[in-house]
Amino acid sequence: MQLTIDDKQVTAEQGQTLLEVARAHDIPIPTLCYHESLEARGSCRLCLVEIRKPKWPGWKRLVASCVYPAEEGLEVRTATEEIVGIRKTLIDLLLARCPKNPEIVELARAYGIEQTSYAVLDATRQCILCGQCVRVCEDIIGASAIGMYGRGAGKKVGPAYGKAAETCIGCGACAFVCPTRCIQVIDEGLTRRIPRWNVEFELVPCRICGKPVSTRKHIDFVRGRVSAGPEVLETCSDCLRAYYGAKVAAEGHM
Amino acid sequence: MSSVHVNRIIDRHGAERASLIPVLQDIQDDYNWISEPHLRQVADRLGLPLSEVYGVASFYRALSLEPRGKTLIRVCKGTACHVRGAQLIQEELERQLGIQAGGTTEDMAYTLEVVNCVGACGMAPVVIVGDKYFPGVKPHRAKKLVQTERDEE
Repeated sequence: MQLTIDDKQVTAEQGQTLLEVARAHDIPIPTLCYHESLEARGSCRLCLVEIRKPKWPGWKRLVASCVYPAEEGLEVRTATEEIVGIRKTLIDLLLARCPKNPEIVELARAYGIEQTSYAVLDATRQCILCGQCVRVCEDIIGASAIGMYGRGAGKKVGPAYGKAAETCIGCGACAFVCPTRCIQVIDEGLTRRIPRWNVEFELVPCRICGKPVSTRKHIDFVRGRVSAGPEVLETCSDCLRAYYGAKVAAEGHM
Repeated sequence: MSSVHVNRIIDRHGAERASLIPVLQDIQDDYNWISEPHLRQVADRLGLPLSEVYGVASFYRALSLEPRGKTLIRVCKGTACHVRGAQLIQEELERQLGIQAGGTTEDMAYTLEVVNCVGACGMAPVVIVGDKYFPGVKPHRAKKLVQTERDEE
């Protein structure tokens, strides 16, 4: 199907969202709560765009592009004065929540905001409560070790009762998807700590080079789901690549 | 050491995801709060992650994760009640009970809570004792609310 984004004619496939179409055509739309491996939720609202339809003159709507499906003939604008104004307000509020988070500070600078115009209640906060860590843990990993607790201004993300996340396997997917990089995964020797979830794990060394592969709990978790032995699961990706590379070179196949 | 009573509640609603809220409500009704072992039992029996059950239980104001007194006294401090003196009522009740809002008396008889609107603005200021609504409460009558409640027992 055909539609226009910022006056540019673009082609989209049925089921693609406006954000996906825009990104496929190198049209930038800022996002925080979007990650390609997760189902979009439209919670940060930064990806707001304006849509118009030629058959409805004068009609327009602001929608979250990460959840709005592409439609034939739609006219999309990604950075009108109104949209940029709303984005600035959103970013200003995020900056009030996380005034020292480098990712948020950088985003704010890009929109010409050096300092928040709202009251800062707690300058140490780094989390914007987008929920990506909770979703990746539940939907992709299947561990459901962390959740969103409470409501409104007191909402928090973390393990139940603020204790250690019992079902956490230490895979680090939460840190990987976090848009503000506020979940630390600290590897020291053969120990991994994720202080935010109050957990500590034993790391398994690579059978070939000795470099840590992942946590024992993560490897056990994966073992239950795939038909691969320790020669694969307890070997680091570099050594696996070298092994299979050499095998393909010698035998012409895996 | 799972609770037989909690198991009975779960059996009544069916051990499935959709029963989560009714089960938590019944536990709240019978114990006045939801303890950690009870919450874990619900998660286990319904086959849900503890993180999800805790998320639901911590979201609703009607569910408490802290022990609550036998009788819950709620002072409405929505806009209408606030302008008609809810603050004075709250202070009087705090003095009478010897606790702060959000607290529970040592004998576990009362929990005092401030709520944001109970949808009864025409009767402002409103105090709810247990399941009884008291309209147009004056600070000096707030004293009586507690006494009447104590006398009835």
